[in-house]
Amino acid sequence: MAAATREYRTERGAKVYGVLAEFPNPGVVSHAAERVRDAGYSRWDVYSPFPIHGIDDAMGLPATKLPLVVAFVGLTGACLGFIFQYWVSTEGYATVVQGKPAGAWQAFIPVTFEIGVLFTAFTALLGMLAFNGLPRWHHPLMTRERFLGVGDDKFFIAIEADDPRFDPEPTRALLVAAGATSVELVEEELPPAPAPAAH
Amino acid sequence: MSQITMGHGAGHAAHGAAGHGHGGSATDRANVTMPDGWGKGLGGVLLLVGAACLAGTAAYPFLDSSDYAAKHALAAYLVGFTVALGLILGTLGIVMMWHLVKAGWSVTLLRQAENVASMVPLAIVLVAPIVAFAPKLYKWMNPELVKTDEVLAHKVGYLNPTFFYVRLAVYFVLWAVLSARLVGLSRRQDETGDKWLSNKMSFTSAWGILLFALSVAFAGFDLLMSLDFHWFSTMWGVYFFAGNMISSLAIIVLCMSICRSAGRLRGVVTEDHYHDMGKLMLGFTVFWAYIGFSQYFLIWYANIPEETAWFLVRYGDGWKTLGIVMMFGHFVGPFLILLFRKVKRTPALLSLVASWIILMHCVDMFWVIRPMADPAFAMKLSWVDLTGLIGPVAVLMGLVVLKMGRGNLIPVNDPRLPEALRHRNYV
Repeated sequence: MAAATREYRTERGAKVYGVLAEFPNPGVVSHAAERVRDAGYSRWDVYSPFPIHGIDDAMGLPATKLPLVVAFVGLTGACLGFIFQYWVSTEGYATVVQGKPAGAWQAFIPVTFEIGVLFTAFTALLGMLAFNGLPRWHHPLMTRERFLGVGDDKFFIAIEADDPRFDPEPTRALLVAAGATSVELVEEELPPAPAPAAH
Repeated sequence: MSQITMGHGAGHAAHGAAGHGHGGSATDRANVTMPDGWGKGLGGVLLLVGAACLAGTAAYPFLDSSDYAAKHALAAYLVGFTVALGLILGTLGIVMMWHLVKAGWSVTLLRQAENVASMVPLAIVLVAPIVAFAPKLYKWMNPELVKTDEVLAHKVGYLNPTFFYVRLAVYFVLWAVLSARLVGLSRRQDETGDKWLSNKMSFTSAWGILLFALSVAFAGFDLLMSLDFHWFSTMWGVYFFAGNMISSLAIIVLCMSICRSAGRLRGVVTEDHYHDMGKLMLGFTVFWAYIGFSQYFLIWYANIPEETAWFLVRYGDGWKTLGIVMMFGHFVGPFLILLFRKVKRTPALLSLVASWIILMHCVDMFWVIRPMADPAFAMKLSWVDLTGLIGPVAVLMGLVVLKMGRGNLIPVNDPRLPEALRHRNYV
C-alpha cells in the first residue's frame, strides 16, 4: 500500500492536488463513483451541476452527523431559553405579571419554542457550511478550464493526492476504465515566489 | 445500493421490483390483493368483540344503579364513536389532500386510506344512539334550562335541538357524498383504467375540502364542545381536526403493515413510504401539541372565568394526571422518537409508534368528553369506559379488515402509480 505521506509534485514544483476525470452524464459518473468507492479511495468527491439521486450510496458516503448536532444544539437552546426565563422571573427580576405565580412555566413555552427553532435553524445552516468546509474562496479545481463546465452540463470525479491509495498512474487507469472521457492532473498553486523586481 | 435515474440502470434491478413499473412483479395481482378468504377470521373477531362491547355499553344503564349510569354509558360510547369518526374523517381528509396536490408517492397507500374513509355509512349508523339520546348527554337540550340560564339564552339561536339535528344531518350527508364519490371514482378507475377520473377526484376534492374543513370544525363544536355549553374556544375545530389527522395517519400505517404482514405489497409499499408517513406523523404530532397548547395558553393567560372553567375541571381528580400523560405521551415521546430516521424507516417500529398514537388519541377524546358525564366532574372509571371505547372502534376496524380482504390493495390503474412504485427518499 502506498504510504499516506507520499507527496507528489509536478515538474515545476507545484504540489499535486489530485486527478480530475470528466464523465458525460450522471449515470456514468454514478457507476464510476461506485468503482472508486469499491477501490477503497477515501479522499475524493463527485462534482455535478445538480443533485444526483442515489449518489450518496454510490459514493459510499456515511449518513451525515449534522442532524445529531442540530438536535443537540436545538434542545440545548430550548433548555437555555427556558432556564433563562425561569431565572429572570424568579430570581433575576421577579415581577408579578397578570397575577401569575413567579416561574409559571406556561408563559415561557412560546419563547422556549422560538429559541429552540432559532438554535436549530442556525445550527443547521452553519453546521452544513462547516461540515462542507465552506465558505472558501478558492479551490484548486477552479484553475482547470474544463472543470468550469460543472456549472453547466459536465460531471466530474476528483481524487485527491492526499488519499492513501492515490498513485497517479493506477488512479488514472481506474478512472479511464470507469468511463472518463478525459483525465487530467490538477496542481495546487505554487507557493508564492519571491517577488520579482518591478523592472 | 443505488438507483440511478439516468444511465445504465440494468445492474440495479435488485431494488425490489419497484422502479420498474413495466409489467414487473410488484403490481402482479397476487401482490396487490389479499389471499382468498383472508381477513374473515380477524375481521370476524373484531366485529364480534365490537358487537359484544356495544351490547355491554347498551346494557350498562340497566346493570348499574347509579343515577348517572345512562349518561356515563352514553359518554363512554361518545368517546369510542368520536375516535372512530375521527379515523374516518381524518382518512377522508388525507385522501382529499393527496388528490388536491396530485401526490405521486402516496398512490400505493391511497386505497388503505380510502378503505377507512369509505366507512361514513357506518358512522351514520353509529351516531344513531347519540342522536336518539342526545338530551341525556347534552344539558343545553333541556328546554327548562333556557329559561334560567342566561348564557344559554344567548346561544339558543345556534344551540337548539332542531338546528343541532339539521346540522348533524348536513355533516353526515356531506361526508357520505364525498366519501362515496371519491372511493367510487377510485374503484371505477380500477376497472376501466380511465385516467381522466383522477382529475375528477382532484376536482371533487377541491370543493370538498373546503366544506369538509368547515363541517369537521363545526362537528367538533356540536359533538364535543357543546358538552360544556358555557364554554367556547375558537380553536376547538382545529384541535379536533389535528387529533383526527394524527390518528388517521397512524391507522394508515397500521393498514400498510397489515397488508405487508400478509406478504402483500412487496416492493409496492416500501420503507420509503413508511419514512414519509413517519414524517407526516412527526409533523402532525407537533401540530396537535401546537394547537392544544395554544388553546390552553390563551385561556390561561386571559384568565376569564367562563373560559377557564373547562380547564379547571380538567385540573382536578385524575384529569390533570391524564393531561400530563398526554403532554409527554401524545407529544414529547412520539416527537423525540419520530425524529429518528431509523424509526420512520422501520415498519415494525413505526407501527408501534402508530399504535401508541392511536391509544393517546383515545386518551385525548376520553379527557375531552368524560369529565362532563359526572355531576361532580369526578373520574369514576368503570368497565363501560372500556366497552364504550372499544365497541365502535372494533366494529370500524373489523369492517375495514373485511374490506381489505376484498378488492385491490392499491389503485392499480392510477396514472401516478409508477411514480409511487419508484418512490425513494434520498435524504
